[in-house]
Amino acid sequence: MIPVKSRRIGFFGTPLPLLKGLLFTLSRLFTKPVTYQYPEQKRQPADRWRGLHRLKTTDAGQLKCVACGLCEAVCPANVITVEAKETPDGRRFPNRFVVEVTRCIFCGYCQEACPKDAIELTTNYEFCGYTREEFHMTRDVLARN
Amino acid sequence: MLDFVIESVIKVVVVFAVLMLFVAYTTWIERKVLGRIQVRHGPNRVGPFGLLQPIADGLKGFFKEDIIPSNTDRLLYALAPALSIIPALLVVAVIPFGDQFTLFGRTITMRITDINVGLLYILGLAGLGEYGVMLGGWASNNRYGLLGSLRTAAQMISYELALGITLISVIMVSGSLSLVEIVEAQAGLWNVFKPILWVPFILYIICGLAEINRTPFDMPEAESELACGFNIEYSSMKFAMFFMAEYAHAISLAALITCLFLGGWNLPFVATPGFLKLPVFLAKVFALVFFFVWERGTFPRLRYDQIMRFGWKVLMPIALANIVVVGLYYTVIA
Amino acid sequence: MMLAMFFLAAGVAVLGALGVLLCRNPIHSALGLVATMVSLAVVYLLHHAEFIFVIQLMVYAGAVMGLIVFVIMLLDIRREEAASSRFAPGKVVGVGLAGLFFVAILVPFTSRLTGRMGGMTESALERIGSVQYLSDQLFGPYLLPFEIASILLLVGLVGAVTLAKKKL
Repeated sequence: MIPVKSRRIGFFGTPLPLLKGLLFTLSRLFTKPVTYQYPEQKRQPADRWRGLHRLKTTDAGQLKCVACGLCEAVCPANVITVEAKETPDGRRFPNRFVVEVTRCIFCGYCQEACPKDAIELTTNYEFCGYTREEFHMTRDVLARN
Repeated sequence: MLDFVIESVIKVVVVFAVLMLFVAYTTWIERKVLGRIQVRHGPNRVGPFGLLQPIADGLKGFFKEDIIPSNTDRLLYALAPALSIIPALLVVAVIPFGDQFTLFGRTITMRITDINVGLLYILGLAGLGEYGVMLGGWASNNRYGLLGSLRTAAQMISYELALGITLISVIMVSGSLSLVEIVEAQAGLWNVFKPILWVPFILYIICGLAEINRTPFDMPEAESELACGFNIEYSSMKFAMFFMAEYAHAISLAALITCLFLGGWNLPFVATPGFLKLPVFLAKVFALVFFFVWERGTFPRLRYDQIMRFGWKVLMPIALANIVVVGLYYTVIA
Repeated sequence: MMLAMFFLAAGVAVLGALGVLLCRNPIHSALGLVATMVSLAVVYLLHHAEFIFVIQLMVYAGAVMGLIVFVIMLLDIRREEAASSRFAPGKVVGVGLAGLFFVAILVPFTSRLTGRMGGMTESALERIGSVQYLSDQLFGPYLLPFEIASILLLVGLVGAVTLAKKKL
């Protein structure tokens, strides 16, 4: 048993805090619930919310990524795999770019490290799927996100 | 004889059905009001305002798998939920929820029976009610369950005493053990408004809450320490029966307080027209049910030794002193 | 109808009593006793003794048996220990006493049954069973025995507390 030092409030003072508590909960009863009714009513995340990854493209529709591998190196959870390839005219591009989203910790270091501003974390927090493989997101999937 | 039997059977069936409906919707009231107290919505998906939620829950209860853990005492394990719900339902037999009305030339009283020891009968049933909980915890061969039922037994035995002693003052003032006569004696003035009788009123609410194991005294369940206590191993309809018993107890406690202190079907200070009696009674019962939910949303659970000390060292002396004071006041002064 | 109810209640009472004797598990035995107590209460009710019915429910079926079950659960006795020998002296004495008790019960049966022949007619029982009559008797002619009984109970209570608690 833990001895608890009690503040003596006297015999007649005892019920008063109880009544105060009842009054407080009664006042709560008439306030508006703060719950978001999720599927119908969606919460707007902050602009800097770190959600699902996206590979950015230029206006011409080409991937900005040059497959330098910095994101792969910086990723603390090791979820990014990049394989570089060169086009005949000497431009580097990611032949394979996989993010295992289920293991991602959404720290945003990849976004920070990228010299070409090619990867970003969008504000999309609603992504789900039936298989694990759906979350091994490849280059083309990430570009569409 | 035969028409008496038929009338009684019809009354029992109707009261049972209505009680079960009330039990179901008390769970809805509880979840909704608790939700609003915690600034949430509460159930609102099944039907408008979640009104069909109790029905969905009931259906779910029926279709769930009934799991019986190994090494249980099979007989007692199956018997315990029934033992816990039967006394809860039997209490309603003596509760007068209205006066009487005439139907097809028959005078029908709005109560199943009026035995001249109605109040004691309710106390007796309260004593039987603890078996269900005790055996449920013991039979399921689980340590949490056993702890829960031991606590329940100790708590119920302790608070039953204070409960019974509190009632004596009401019996003294009303001069009867029949609930009907007690209600009729309050026609002009409810018992709460009579001098001193607010003390047993408060005592009775506290002891009653402890007796039906509701929140400030919900030792047997104590989710956070006993992982649900006595009903931890129960599933499906057996669990549902424990659950229903709990709410049936809450409703019958509310009805009892209404009868004993809040004037039953009587409006305060004025005569009650016949058609209003049942609605007035039900309104009071649901006001009390609302109070039970409200205080559940407010008070934290007491520690076990605090509960026992409070019962024996605070409530018992007050209850005993209450008898003396009420007796002296109503014989000497009034 | 009443007779059928009586035989039902009496049957349950006898079955419960047999259960007390024959069950190996002490909790089952205790529950058998509860069943006996409750069905005895029903028998009292059939005799219009409503007050006794309720007191039987409250005190014996509720409080006393509740405590017994509580204690058994607390001690956690799973199985009654098997008796060491078939003819232990305790058993012989017990059987002898049970036989004597049975004979003692049989004595009134041989002479005259209460009920139809005696003064305890149904209307008289209805009167006696009522709380008012009972309390008039208890607080009137039988006040002294009543008070002595309550003092005895109080003495028992104080004794139990002093025995159980060495340090108050």
